[in-house]
This record gives sequence, structure tokens and C-alpha cells, in this order.
Amino acid sequence: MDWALVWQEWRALPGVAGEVLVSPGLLLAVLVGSVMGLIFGMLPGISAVMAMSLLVGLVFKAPVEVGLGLLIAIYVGAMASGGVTAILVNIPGTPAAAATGVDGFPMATQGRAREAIQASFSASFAGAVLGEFLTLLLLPFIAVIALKLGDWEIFLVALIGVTLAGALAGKSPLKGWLAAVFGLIIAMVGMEEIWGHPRFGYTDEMNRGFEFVPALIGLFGLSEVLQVLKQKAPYQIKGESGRIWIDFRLLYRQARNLVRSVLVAVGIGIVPGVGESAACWASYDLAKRGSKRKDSFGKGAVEGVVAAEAANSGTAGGALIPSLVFGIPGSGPTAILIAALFIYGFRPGPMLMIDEPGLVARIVVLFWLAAVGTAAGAVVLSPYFLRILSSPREILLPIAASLGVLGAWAAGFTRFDIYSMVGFGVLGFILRQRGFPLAPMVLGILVGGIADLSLRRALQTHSGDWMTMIKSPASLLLLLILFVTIGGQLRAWWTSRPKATSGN
Amino acid sequence: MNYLVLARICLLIGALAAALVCQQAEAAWPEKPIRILVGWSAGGSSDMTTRALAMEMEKELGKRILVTNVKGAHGSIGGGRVAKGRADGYQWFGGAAVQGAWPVMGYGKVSWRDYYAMLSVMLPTTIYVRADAPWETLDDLLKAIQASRKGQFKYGHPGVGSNGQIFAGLVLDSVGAADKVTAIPYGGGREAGRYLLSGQIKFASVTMGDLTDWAAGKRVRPLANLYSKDIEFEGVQYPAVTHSIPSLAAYEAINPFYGIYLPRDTPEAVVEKTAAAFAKAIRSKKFGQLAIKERAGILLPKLGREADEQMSRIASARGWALQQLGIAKHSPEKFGIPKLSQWNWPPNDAAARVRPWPESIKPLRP
Amino acid sequence: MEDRQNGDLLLGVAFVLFGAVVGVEALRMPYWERETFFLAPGFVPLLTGVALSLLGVVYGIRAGLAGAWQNWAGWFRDLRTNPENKRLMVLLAIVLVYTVGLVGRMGFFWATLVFHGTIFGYLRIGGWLKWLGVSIGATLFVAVLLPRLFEMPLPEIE
Repeated sequence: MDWALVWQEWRALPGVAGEVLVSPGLLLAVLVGSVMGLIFGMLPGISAVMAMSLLVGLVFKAPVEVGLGLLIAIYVGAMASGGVTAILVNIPGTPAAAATGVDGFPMATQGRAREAIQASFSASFAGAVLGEFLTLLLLPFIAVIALKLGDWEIFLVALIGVTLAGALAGKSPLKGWLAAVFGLIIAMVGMEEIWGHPRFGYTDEMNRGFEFVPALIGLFGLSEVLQVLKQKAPYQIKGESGRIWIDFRLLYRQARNLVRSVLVAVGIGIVPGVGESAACWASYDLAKRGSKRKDSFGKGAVEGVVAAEAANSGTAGGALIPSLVFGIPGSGPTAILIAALFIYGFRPGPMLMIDEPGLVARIVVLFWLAAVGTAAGAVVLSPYFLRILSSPREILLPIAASLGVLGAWAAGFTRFDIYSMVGFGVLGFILRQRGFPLAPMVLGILVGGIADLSLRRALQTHSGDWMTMIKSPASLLLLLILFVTIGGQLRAWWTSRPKATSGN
Repeated sequence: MNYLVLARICLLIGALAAALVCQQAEAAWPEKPIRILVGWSAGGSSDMTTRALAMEMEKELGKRILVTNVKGAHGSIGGGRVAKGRADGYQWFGGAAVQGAWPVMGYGKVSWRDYYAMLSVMLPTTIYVRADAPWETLDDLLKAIQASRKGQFKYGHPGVGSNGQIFAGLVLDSVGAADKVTAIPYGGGREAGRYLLSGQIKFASVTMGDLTDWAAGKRVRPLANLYSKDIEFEGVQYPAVTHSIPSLAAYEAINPFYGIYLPRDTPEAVVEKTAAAFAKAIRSKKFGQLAIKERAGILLPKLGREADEQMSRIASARGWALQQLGIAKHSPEKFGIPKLSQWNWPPNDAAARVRPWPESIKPLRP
Repeated sequence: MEDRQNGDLLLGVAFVLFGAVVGVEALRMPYWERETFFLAPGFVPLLTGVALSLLGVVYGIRAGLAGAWQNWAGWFRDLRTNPENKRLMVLLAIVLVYTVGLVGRMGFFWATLVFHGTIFGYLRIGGWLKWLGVSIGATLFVAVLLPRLFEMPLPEIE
């Protein structure tokens, strides 16, 4: 074990924190980002991923820390405020907030909206701080181990990410896997890195391949815009929030619940491809099982809100680990952070900690700062939540569409990127209509290159002997996880099959 | 009344923005930001050297220089776009000087002759082994390879057709051991270095600067460097490959050379102004720090005829090496590219006919 | 629920065909020789193409078993008459005209202004003053302020 490398990020922490705290531009960026995130998270139709994907193409000219700070703050802000929509309207502002509404909405109908929102923001704050703390503790160990991994192990990690994302992102693993494989195929387009052969290079532009950012904007941005705008449904708001505070007494009372939720969230976040939406349900479930008042869950139990919100904010930390260590994202928003890191010339992967000492500490500090900014923003903005919630979608979403065009253009200053953004938007819309989750597809696009290179290289290094895949303990373990995942899904599908067909 | 407020705010923003637009109007080039397309991804040597240069040239030219990465096909995708684009001085190409190899690799018709190349830095190519490896010299390593079974000795390089693969191929050919090894291509020298450390490969043939920090940290050891002299860098000796294999002295042109490239039909005045800014920028402290000191580069600035000659020599060295390694799609002969041993200026009729550089541009001192 | 199944069947067929095309194209890529077989550029595309086709077969068969081969007429009628689909088609047309038709044929500012004007008009966001104000304001934000702020070039007329 390379202990010096393990200490490195912890030792860098005080210095980095000091540096960040005295840079006014960065503080401003994080504050602005938090407020933007808060607002975006609340607006139905604009999710955290969508806001981030629209901006990632634009921030490339800002200094690295400002750009990353802005994106991270939007992420944290949106994770926290997604709960507000879930509580007041019973429509989660982000998918990650789905579990929040289970108890939050009944609370609002009982006239306890303010209490629910206060609990939601308090838990988000605690979840983000604790989650990142755990990440800072764990990440260096995993990174040092990752340095010793060969091509087989990297390939298996990528494969597990895609498989798990496919299995868990939606209701049907089959649709998830179809989306994931489709994403992998898209990643194959363009010059491959071993021979320089143009795969599917029918035109000069296809030779270059599909850029990740336009695909992201199309899939998460434009498709969502179309989806929301095609309905005319206005929605009903239950209750008023009024001024809220971060309730430390509640956090103290719920300490057990909080810690448990964050541990679960970080654990789920570490698994590549599985993010917030899975973590909040798992934590909610555990909180229910661990509670003395099980029957109050679903009828307005504040523990339920705390568990779900602590989990979706805590996952961000866990999801960072595979993103930074392997370049394989743990969730949709971290996929965008990876794209941003690439734009700034960092290469997420096992080498990141050696090449960029202090970057991990810096990212964690930015997350903490964003958590503080979000909490402060929530306290200041809380009396206006109702007004934000009822802001006109017909004005915001078309602007999101033209912003998407600008963002796609900025990815490489070529019209092909705009066309591909629109193409991915339409494709994403169609798939979404048929109930396909898009996160596995995005993951497939991002991971395709890594999976392709590591598989071919592993086979070349070991003279085409597939059996070498099971020769190292690490890859044996990974292979086991893979089989358990696929097997579990097939079993679940097999046992639920008669019900599904008779239901239709 | 709510929307009246909204409308008023919009109008205000509008007025502000309009004022911003009308602010500037200048006559001579450059009157708007210049764009450089770098043919490789962000963070690599091509990207870093181009960005360092752009930052300094910005100061000389007084306009922003935007660097965009358009990677793929050894840079030929971005390079092709610049060569075919408008030659008004607002779009340049940046990165490694490998244009001469594009036609040989089958990446379209664009070649070095389509640009005015302004070359700045050369990075040597190095063979590294792990610090705990039993081989102290290149000769030790080559002996071990010759004694091994066919295809059993794995080594890594930064990609098919890269300087690392060509260099390793030439070294192995010189002792007739090419069939003893299996070459594993990686995504850049840094990645090859990581797999060298994790033990998947026995040696790595990469650009020197990719692993100098690990050499200084005693994780890896350089055995041979494609340069005419021994170099000492951060306390580590990089022995010249010519000690073991003198015939490789001629192949220095395989090393990556970095620069910026203007389309060959760019107006003379623009070329002159750019060249002057270039000459100043490469002497700046910042460029020295970023492109030379941090990347272990050697400053060998070239402009005018000298740059054309260098580009042509690179075409010969790379083109024939690729042909010899069996990677080339077309024989260099087809394009009239002479072997390095037969090279002299002009190498072929097409090169003799290219549009000459502006008279006023003088060669630079190294 | 028949309409869903019909769409699933169509999509399943599309996946199978697309996967097959990808697989065939992968086999036409070079370097399939013995010593470079596993390094061949088409190796992973072949695997993914086959995987997509297989999953597509399962997907299509499940839709078919659920009765997807019947009642195409009803499915098409529903697709045509659903008011949401109509709205979607108009929105999509506006986006396509903007991105494919206008951007690059006229200045980015004007293209964006036309886009905003059309889409805000279609969505009936309010009276003509609000319509004008929001369209111009949004356009200045997207096509002038942001590009200035981030110092980026805009799509030029080609």
C-alpha cells in the first residue's frame, strides 16, 4: 500500500480549504451555483442533470475552480431542493427526491409543509457534509488499490457499471440493458484509439465521433423539454413553506437515522452506475424498518423525509469515488462532472491523484462549501418557494432549448454537434415515451471507450486467453458481483413474469 | 402588470447587451478572437504546448486566442478542417507536427505542404523500465528480449503509429528481435506508464516528458533516449540511444515536434504578424516554464524554409518507419516521400512548388 | 394498453435491425487477421451489435406475446389524434427548423430570435407586449450575453 499517496489528499485539505475560502470569485461562483441549483431543483421539468448539462458546455472558459464550483453547487443545490417540489406538489423535482414525497406530501396536506421542508433541507445539509467526509476518507484507499489493477479489472468495473445501471435505473432491467448497449454502440462511433481506424466514419464528422456533451444535452435536456412542454397540465400546490432554518436539534435527534442513511447512500454511490434514485429508496426502507413507529411511515413521518433527503445528498460523495478513480460515473450528475473534468484537461482515472495532487481534496471542499451555500440560500429564499414553484414553464423551457443549442455548439464549434444534440433529444424522447431509462445510455456512451480499450488490450496482453480474466482475486470478485447482478435480475424477472402478463 | 416588469427587465438587459456589441470596431487583423484547433485531447503534450503558446501570443496580438480540442486520427480531423477552412488568419491548427504522415496513414490528402508551420519545441522519446527491473542498460534489455520466446515480451507505447511505437520498433529491428515482442497500445504515455508500474508490460516506449516525474521519484528508470546527446533532467540521466545503436541518430525526426500551423494561402501580412508574435512568445518565461521545463522539452524554434525542411524530414522519418512497421495504409513512395538517408531539399516536385514564405521572415536561433 | 405494446414491437424490430447493421459493419472493419484478432477495431462493436439484437429479440417477443400484432389501425389512429402528439409535432418542427434550417444560414442572434418568437407565440405565454419582451430578452440572454461572457464564437453563415 502506497501510504504517502493515501495521506496526500488528507494532508492537502487544510491548505486547499484556506485557499478556497480566501478566493472571492470562487465563493461567489459557489453561492450563485447553489441558488441556481435550488431554483432549478424546484422547477418541475428542469432537473439537476439537465441544468448541469446545459451549463457544462459553457463553463469551459471560466477558471477551473470556478467552473467546477459552479457545477458542484448546482448539483448540491438541486439535490436539496428537489424535495420541496416532492413535498408541496407531490411531483419530485428530481427523480432522486421521489422517496421524499412519500412522507413529505402527507405532511403538507396535514398543514405541516414548513416542518417537512425544514427537515428536508436540514437532512440534505447533513447528508452532503457527512457523505463528502466519508468520501474523503475512502477515496484514497480505493485509488491506491486501483493503481494496481490491470485491464481485465478495469473492463469488469465498466461492465458492472453498465449492467447495474441498466438493471436498477428503471422498472424493467431489459429496457435498462437495451439503453445501456445502445449507449455503448454510440460510443463506438469515431476514430478508435488502437489503430486509428474510423469506425462508422461515413462522414468527416462521424469520423470524429459523437461528443459527450451534446449527447448529454440532448438526452437529459432537450428530451425533457419536449416531454414537459407537450403536456399542458398545471399542477396543484399544497401548503406554504414560510421561512425555514437549518434545524440542528432535529439533526441531533435523528442522528442514528442520518448516519445510517448516509452510510447506505455512500455505499450505493460507490457502485458505478447506481446513483441517487436508488439510494433514497434504500435508505427510506431501512429507516422504516429501524423505526419504532413503522405504521406512521407513508402518513407523514418526519424520519422518512430525513432518511430520503440525507441519502440523495449523501450519494453524491459515494458516486464521486468511481467517477474520479475509474472515470466511470456513479450517477447522472457525476457523469457531467467527469465531462467537465475532461474539458479542463484532467483525466479521471487511476492516475488522477498522482497527476493532480490536491484535486480530490479541492472537490470535497467545494462540495462542503456548496452545502453551506445551499443551506444559506434555502433560508433566505424559503419565503419565495411558492413563487418559484409557480414560475412559467412555457417561458423557461424554450430558453432551456436554445441554451442547449448554444451549449452543444460550444462543445466543438461545429454544427454537427448541434445536429447530434437534436438527434439525441428526439431519440431520448422516444425512448422515454416507451419507458426506457436514459441514465444507462449516458453511462454506456461515457464508458464505451474504456470498456472497448481495456477488453481488447487485456486479450492482446494475455494472448487471447479469456481464462486469464479469473486469475486475479480482484477480477474474480468483480466477476462474482456481475453474475449476482445479472442472476438476481433474471430471477426477479422470472418470478414476476406471470403477474406482469396477466396484469396487461 | 407582472409581465410589464418582466418586459422592462428584458429591455434593460437588451440595452446593456447592445452596448456591449457595438463597443469595438478596429481595422487591421486581428479584429476578432482567433481560434486554434488542437488535434489532440485536452491535457496532452500537444494541448499543453499549444495553450502555453496561445497565452503568450495573445499578449502580442491583443486579441483572445481560443483553443479548442478536435481530436482524432492523429490530429488530421482538426487539421483537415483548418486546411480546408477560410485562410483569413482566424483559424489555426495546433499540436504535433505529424502532417507528413497523414497521407501515408490514409487520413485524407492534407499534408505538411498545406500549412505554414511555426515550430517551437521538440520532446525526445524514451524507453523506460520499472525501477526494480534487472536491466541497467539498453543492451541488457535487448539481450533479455533476444533470449525470450516469440511474442512473449510485452511492451507498451502511447498508440499505434506513435513516436513510441516507431522508436521501439526501430530499436528492436536493429537487433533483429521484432518478432519476440508484443506491442500493447495505450491511450498516451502516461497510461502506458501506469501499466508498466502495475506489471502488465516489461518496458514502455513513450515521450520522455510523460514519465520524468516518476523517473525522478525512482519508480521508473530511463534506458535510452532518442536524442543525439545524454540529457540530465531533475537529477536523472537519460542516456542517448546512439551509445548502443549509432544508426538511429538519423531518426531524431521521429520525436514529436510541436507548433502552430496557418493554412498555406493565408495573406502575407497575417503570416508576418503571426511569426513575429510567435518569435516573441517562445522566448517568454511562461512558455519556458510550461512547455520546456515541465514537459522536458528542447527549444528548437523553426520558421520559414527551415520549418518546411523540418516538416519534410518528419514526413520521411515517420512515413518510412510506419511503412517498415506495416502500419502504413499507402507506401510513402506513392507520395514522393524520400527515405531519410536520401533526403535533400526539395524532396519532391510538389514541395518545390509550394507557396514560399514571406521574404521578411528570418530563421530563428535555437 | 394495446398502443404501448404496438410501439414496443416496432422498437424491438428496430433494435434487432440496428444491432444487425452494427454487427455487419463491424465485420467489414479491418485487422481481423489471426494475430490481431482481439485488437480488431470491429471486435467490441460486433459484441455490442449482437447484444443489442439479442436483447431486441427478447423485447420484441415479449411485446408480441402481449398481443402487439393486433389492432395496428387503432394504434395509428390514436397516434394521429392524440392532442399531446400534435403539440409535440409542432414543437419538434419549431426546434428542427431552428437548429437545422436557421442556425448557420442566418446570424445566430436572428435565428434564435425567430425561434423564441415562434415558440413563445405557439405556447401563448401572454399578451403581445409580454411576448415581444420575453422573446427579445431571452434572445439577448442566449445569443449575446452568454457568448460575450464566455468569449465564444457563434455559428457563422456558411
